[in-house]
Amino acid sequence: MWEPAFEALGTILSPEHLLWLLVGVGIGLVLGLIPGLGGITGMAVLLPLIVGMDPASGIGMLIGLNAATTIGDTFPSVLMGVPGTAASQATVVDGYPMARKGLANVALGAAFTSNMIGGIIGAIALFLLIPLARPIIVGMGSPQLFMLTLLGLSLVVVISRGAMAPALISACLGMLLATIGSASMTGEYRFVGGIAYLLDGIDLAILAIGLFAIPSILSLLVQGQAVAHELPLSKGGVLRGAREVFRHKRVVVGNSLLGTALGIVPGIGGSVIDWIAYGATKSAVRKDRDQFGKGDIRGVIAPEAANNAKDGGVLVPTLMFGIPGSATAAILLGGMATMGVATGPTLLRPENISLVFVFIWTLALANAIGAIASGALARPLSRLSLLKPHSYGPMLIVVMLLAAYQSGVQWGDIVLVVVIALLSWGMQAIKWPRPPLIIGFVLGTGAENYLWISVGRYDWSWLTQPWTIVVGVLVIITLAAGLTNSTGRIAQSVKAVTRRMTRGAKTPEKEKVNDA
Amino acid sequence: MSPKKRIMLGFAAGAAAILTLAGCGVTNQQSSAADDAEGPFYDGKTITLIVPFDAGGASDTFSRMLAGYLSEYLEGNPEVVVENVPGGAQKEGLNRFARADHSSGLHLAMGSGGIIASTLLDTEGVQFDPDEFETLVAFGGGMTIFGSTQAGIGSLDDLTASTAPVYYGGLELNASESVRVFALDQLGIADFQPLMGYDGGGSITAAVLSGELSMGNSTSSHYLTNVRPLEEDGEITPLMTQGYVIDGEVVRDPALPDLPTMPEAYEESTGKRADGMGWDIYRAMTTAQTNLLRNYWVHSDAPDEAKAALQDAMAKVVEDEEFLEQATELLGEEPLAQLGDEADASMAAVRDLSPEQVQWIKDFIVEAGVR
Repeated sequence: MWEPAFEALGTILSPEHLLWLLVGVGIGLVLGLIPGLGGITGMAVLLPLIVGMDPASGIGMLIGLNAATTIGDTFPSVLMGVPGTAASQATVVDGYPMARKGLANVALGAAFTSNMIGGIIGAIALFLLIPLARPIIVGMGSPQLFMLTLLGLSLVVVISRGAMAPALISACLGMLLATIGSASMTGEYRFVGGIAYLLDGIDLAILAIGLFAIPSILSLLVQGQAVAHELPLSKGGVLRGAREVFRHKRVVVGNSLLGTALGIVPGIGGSVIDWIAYGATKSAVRKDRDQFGKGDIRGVIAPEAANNAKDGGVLVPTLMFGIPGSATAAILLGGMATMGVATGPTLLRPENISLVFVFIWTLALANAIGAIASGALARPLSRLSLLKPHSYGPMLIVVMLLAAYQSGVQWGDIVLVVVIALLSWGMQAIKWPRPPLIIGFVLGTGAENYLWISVGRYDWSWLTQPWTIVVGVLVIITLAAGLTNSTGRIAQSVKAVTRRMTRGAKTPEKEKVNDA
Repeated sequence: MSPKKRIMLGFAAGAAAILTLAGCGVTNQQSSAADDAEGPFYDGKTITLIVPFDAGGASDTFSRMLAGYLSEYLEGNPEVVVENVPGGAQKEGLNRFARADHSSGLHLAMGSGGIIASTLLDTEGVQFDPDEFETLVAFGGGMTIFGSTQAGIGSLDDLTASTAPVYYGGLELNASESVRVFALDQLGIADFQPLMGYDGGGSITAAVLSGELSMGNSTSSHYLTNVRPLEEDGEITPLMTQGYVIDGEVVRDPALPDLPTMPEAYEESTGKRADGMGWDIYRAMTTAQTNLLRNYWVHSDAPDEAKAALQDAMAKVVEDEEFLEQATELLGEEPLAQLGDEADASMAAVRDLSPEQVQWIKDFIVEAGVR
């Protein structure tokens, strides 16, 4: 085990590979920085370049790019309140208020440190999970996957503040949007209304741009004021942010582990993981919970740690079974095939194992380099928050529309972005939460397919499988905890009980992560 | 330069980067029709190859590789640019190909035989006429069915002897999948249950390993590169292949010559011949699915000179040792290549399905979907 690990380290540290890794990280940071563009775009553009490239260099470039986009995306999320990619939507909630108080540098420093720690924990987890990959993936049958999507959906009630009904309606709307297109179980088209564009369903990238990015810029423009008036912590702010992370060790480590575990489950992906991490942290902390949403640094640390950690988890099904854990992983698989690297069980053979280590080292190294580079850029870039929005807002809208068009190269993409942005604007106006919509959308397809297969395969006996019950209990606890939080005084006593239950359920939760 | 200006400059650079990136998707080169007469037809030109799949998949990767060789063998060495137009289950890309200006012969398209077959069933969103597509080359690729040791399926006999339900998993119940479901259903399995909706070959493999599925399918290419190690570990057993259709008969997959084809398995287990409407359709759809897995088309409106140059070059590409070696490495098997008449015959087999046969497939999909 150790020999191939060091062999791979030698490969990675050779100048040629290091150069490609830096190229990947550099492109990734820029793509992350530009709202609307992200890892998928970068992967698709770089893919033709890797034909004939040495596998280790190609892996360095693609993984470097992927890791760096989820680091670079923090800049616009914090500085403008516009998520850089779908994976940093939740960072906006607390990162942006911090920037408004002039604490942009602190937020960025905390985010990058969490990125780095999360990414490295993810890489270590990938290493530790190699021997466990097979039992984990084979053990996750359709009923378990269905229950995990339910658990994700149940977190809607935890994330949402205030009235529960709008949050639930929003989640249902997301699930409804997910049904547009062809239903693979029966081969039928649903809700396409004769529009060819809708045959494939709605693209997640389009939904994310329309739902979060464009409305954020519109509100900036409507307010017409710079995000911050001064930057009191221009010097040393980044380091102060980094120190804050070490003060919240449990938040950063816990969310890194959560992110890795969620990454392993196929079909969840960054756009949901950040919200889950945010919601879970908010409901798990005891001190000053009401600070969340007003610029609490823990609200920045949680999603950023989870999102870089997830890359390690995603690679478990992607590499070991050829099951792409996310959309970028699917492109990565194509890249591996281009370079003649067979993924799947073959990769675990002794002669190939050093390639797995190349992935692990690259992941750790890319996160470290990306985070340090971003830290250095934080000071100059944080001055963006001093700019008047009308000097950059219109151009960003154009950029995002182009980014939307670029994802499918169809006019329908632009129309859809505008329609979704209007929907989002409307939802904001009547104070309906939007995160549940994206969670419903992402998990809806999986929930439907897995439920269909579970019932087809096991009738209703899957409901009595042990892991179905374990996850089911977690779902009920989550729902109870979320609902009692929101109903105030009457529920005070119930809350105490559920807390005790949640505490009691901590151990099985960890087991689930290892075994699910 | 003030900090403000510097920032704006940075943004301008970013915007330029995006425009370049966005531009990568749309490489609509206008033709220069002026320079004819002298020199090779494609001298100094750029050919756009429309690939109706996302960047990064096997079809895209293969097409990009092929594009390089095509450029090398075409006289005048034109640039061959791959344009990914995913969407609408290949329909977007092929619609765009049909709409393009073909007078200059600068547009080619790639597509699967499956889409040609499915246009017969489902015309929603189809704005192209496959009869106007002329095949330059068609590359084949087989399908393999494998059983789960965990679920007690170690051979064909285990399938037919099983009294427990036999679950077969697939991705989507479309026209191509329906004939496999039909063929398996005919084997005489006591309780046969197709389960669709898995989200990829890897998910099916995992479900077969755990015994959730008694058997699953995979492209032979995926099987050879990803699944075979599990066979060596005794976790799964390959059962049969969909086969190729040569001269109207289903023949064994050259990549897995020891495995019976589905009609062979049927004849062996029932003692009957694989005749009748269902099996006729099986043969037609297998032609579409395996013989014509990846087709490269020129439009019939393209100039004859262009067609001749392309046909000529393509015939050389499929003979190139290095190309075949690279294709084999990518796909795990050497793809069967059909040129000209052979490819046309395969295409005709699919296009000639009668209205009754088309209705039969539609009915079968509905019936299998609600089972």
